[in-house]
Amino acid sequence: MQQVDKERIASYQLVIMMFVIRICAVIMYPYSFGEDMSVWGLMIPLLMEIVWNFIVIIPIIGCTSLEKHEILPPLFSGKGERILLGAVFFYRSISDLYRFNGFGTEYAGQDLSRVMITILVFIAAVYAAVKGIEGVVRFSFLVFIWIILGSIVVMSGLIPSFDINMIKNAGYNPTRDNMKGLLMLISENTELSLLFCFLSRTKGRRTRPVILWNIFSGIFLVFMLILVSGTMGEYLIGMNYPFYHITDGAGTLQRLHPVFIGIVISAFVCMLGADLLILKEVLSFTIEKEKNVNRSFLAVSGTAAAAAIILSNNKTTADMIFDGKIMLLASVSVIVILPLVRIMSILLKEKRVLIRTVSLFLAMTVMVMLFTGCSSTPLDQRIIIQGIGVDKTDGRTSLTLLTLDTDDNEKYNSIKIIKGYGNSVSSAIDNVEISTGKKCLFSQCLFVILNRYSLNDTGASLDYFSDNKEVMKTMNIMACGSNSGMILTKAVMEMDYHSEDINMISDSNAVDQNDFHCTLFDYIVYEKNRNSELKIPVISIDPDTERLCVSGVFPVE
Amino acid sequence: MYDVIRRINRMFAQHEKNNVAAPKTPLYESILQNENEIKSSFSSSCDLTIHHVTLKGADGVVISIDNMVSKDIMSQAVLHPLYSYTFTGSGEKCIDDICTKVLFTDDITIIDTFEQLYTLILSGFAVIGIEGSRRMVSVGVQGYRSRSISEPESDIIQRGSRESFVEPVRTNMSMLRRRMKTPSLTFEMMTIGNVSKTEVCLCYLRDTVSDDVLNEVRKRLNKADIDTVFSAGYLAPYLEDSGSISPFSSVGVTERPDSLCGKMMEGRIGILIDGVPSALVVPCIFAEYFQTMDDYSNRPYFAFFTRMLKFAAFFIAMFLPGFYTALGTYDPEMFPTLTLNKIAISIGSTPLSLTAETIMILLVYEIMRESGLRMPQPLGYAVSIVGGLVIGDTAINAGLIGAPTLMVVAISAICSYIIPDLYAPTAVLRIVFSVIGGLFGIWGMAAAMCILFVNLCSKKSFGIPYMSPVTPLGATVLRDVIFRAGWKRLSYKNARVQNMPGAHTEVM
Repeated sequence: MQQVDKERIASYQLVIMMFVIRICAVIMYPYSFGEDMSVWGLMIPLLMEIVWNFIVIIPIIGCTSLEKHEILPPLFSGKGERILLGAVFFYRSISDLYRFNGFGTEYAGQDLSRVMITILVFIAAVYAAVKGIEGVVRFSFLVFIWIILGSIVVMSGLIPSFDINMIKNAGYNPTRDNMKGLLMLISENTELSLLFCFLSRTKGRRTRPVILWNIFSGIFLVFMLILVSGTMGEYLIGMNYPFYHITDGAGTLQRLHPVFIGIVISAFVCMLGADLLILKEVLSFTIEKEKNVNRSFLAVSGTAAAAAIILSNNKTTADMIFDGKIMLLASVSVIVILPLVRIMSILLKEKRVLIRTVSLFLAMTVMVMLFTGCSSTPLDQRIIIQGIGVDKTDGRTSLTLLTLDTDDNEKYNSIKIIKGYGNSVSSAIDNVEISTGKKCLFSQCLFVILNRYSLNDTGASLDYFSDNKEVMKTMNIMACGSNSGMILTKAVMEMDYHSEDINMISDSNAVDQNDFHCTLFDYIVYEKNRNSELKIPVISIDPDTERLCVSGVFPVE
Repeated sequence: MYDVIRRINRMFAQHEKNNVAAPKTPLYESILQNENEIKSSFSSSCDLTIHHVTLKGADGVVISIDNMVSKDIMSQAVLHPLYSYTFTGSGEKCIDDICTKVLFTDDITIIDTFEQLYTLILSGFAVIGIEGSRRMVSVGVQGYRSRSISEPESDIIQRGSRESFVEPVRTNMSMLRRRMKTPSLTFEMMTIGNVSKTEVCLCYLRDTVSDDVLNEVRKRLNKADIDTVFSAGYLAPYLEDSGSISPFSSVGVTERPDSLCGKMMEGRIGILIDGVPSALVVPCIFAEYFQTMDDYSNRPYFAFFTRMLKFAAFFIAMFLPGFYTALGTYDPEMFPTLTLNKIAISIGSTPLSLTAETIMILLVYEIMRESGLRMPQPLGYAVSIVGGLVIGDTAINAGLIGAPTLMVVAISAICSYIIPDLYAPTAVLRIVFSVIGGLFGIWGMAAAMCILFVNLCSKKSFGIPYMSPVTPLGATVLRDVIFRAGWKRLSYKNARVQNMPGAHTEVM
């Protein structure tokens, strides 16, 4: 049996790694806490996860070998228990990748292939696992620093424009939400089994006993877990992922989503890397040669990745809590893959060149098949929309788009007006894209103006924008009496207004800004909580001054 | 089975190489025989000087290499005393007399093999032989021309010494000795290079160095099976940890003797190579690249400011082009409206995509940089004009490249020169990240950054974690990484590299 030279890590490093893994698990938790699901309705799958994880912990404790300053005595030391451990972490690897694939589906843009993203992150995690526990824990400390710095950046951006009312209006219920947060804590104990695996690898200080130091670290960990889970649980109510819906006055959080993605991916690499690391160590106990260990590890982990990608085929995040197919595939793969690798290595021992050629060919074929799906629309093929006018007449929707003219270098920052027609807002947008041959970019859109017929059914007019991740939640909503297209055309062509000038009319109302200021976020809150009010400012052209101004307020009922 | 046999053979061959010394040929008693042997070894090379001298009571020969010895010292300290002295007795007694009574110099060695003779005369020694003796006397009369001590080219500081290392190793040793007037400063000379027989000197402070690290350095240098050593880069791979694949090197290089002295105070080992005007320093950790002598000359707040600039510049140089291509291709909503408009207009007016344009400009910049290094100085001005006007202005007006992309590459290039030692990995990795960002967006960038940082975190330099003291965290040692604590605090307790958190110097 091959002896593994165990690297030692410090207790605080283990604690921080657990915390980072926890952050990842919380952020990527599937959208299961919907408002229509009762707390007790969630308990059955959650209890099953708890039982499953505690079944895992007992053989894990047994598989640790007794060393000088360990606190866990060995219960089992057989090969069978190690294989069971390997099967469990093989399942967990698939589960982690499955969940990440779903997260990518929810959060990545349409242009990106989520398969490629999953493979890239998987490669990073495999590399981390190959580098050993020291590499993983040190990297997790860097991620921890990144989380702290990212939080500072986000809070610095939020502080000038942060409005606590925006968060409170998002349907927060203290009793229910804290309970759900606690449920997340006791069910998503992904890192607790890892804790038991790595506890025996920690080194204590010479000046104090190892046991006391580990107890202190455990208490600190539990405290941090409760703090993170309970708080994040509040934000997960009714939302897919918190940063998607929460916003601030300047839209800073939406603009900082690369920071969020970077943190999630880094934390996920730590999580998956730790799982794969234990898988690799199990393989090293069962397979004698170091070279074959690496090959077997790559084969097994690659199978896990392929299984996760195949199984997540177009599934939503809600289906990922407990899938029997994953467990079946995990068990079959462990029973089949390991012996197969051993047999292949024995049979093809002499034909090393053939193995390498065939492996290279297979790898290239797979990579060619998988290197698809990532396509992007160049910026010059996009319509950068700065303002939208929505007019509904006789069941037809007419859109007036104020766009930046990127075709002419001479006219820098000039506005071009594009008209679109359809039965609904989405069909009108599609028709615009077809007629111009360019794709619309909504992220720079400052306002939308609805005419009075559109106001009769605000949902039909505004749901397209509230569901679109590109649209900033700080986009202003305004109304007009007759025809928004006519007002916008006259404002831009005759009165020399720019999009920012039109937008400022809603922002700069000096009388009572709370009453005359309506954003897309206000509309989203209004849709979720019908007890709140929604008042949309009405703009018109002053006949005396020939300038745009706010002439009233339209209360939405 | 064949594998096993091959591995055993390899081990055996290595063992033989390590333990069995090359055969040594003793000198002859006859001067003529020695002369014939030397001439045949040197193939009668024209710079080999064999000067027969008829002394009072003995016949002798003086062997040297032309232009390697100082003719003045030779005539005053060697030839004149030899001609003046009356020799009596056998050849061996004459050799003893030469060593103790005749010569006016103290750098004297007795040799008795041809290998020693060749090494010494090729190092600028003159060798005196007497008829009838199997021994010869070598005298240190080096007089070869070498570059004078000048200012360092890359490690420039505002305050502090302006001296840099030069090619002769002994001059470099004297520079260190002048700065560290302590007997614990130890120099160990080794010869590396099967053909070049280059002198390599290990420098360390006996009181601060780790014996384990020192033994490991000796072991790795002794294992260096290389024919020639003409540059510091020849030896660096032998000093790296085996199996370590990383774009960053764990062997530091410095041109400054004061910098090397500071590192030796922290328990590091300097390696001087004859003919190379720089020193290798081991162990080397990542944080060292952001430390310069200026940090210790200026006030702590300014040192902190410049270090922050360096950290920021490193990240900008490495990741800015990648993030630019990632955001411009997949997440344009991150840009402010006016910037987005500019970028959209530039993309529309240029033939290439954003990613291709960025990579092309990066490659063109690297070509210009290489040509600027190699070309003669008088032509440098012409290249600057070509580079500035043609690339910078005309190409944009012609619509070949866009101004925003050029600006991004220019900022990245300027930032990369703040830390010259990290230029190589920065130059390559920023192209890699540009490709990844253009293909896979922010997600690909994040995954690639994870791989890079895992690589850095798992790397070690002689058992010291490469990212120490950031991770593993060493709060005490961190006083000289991001912040630079005042000298009163720094000198309170000297940090030793072998005491860095996570260091396992006994297991390498």
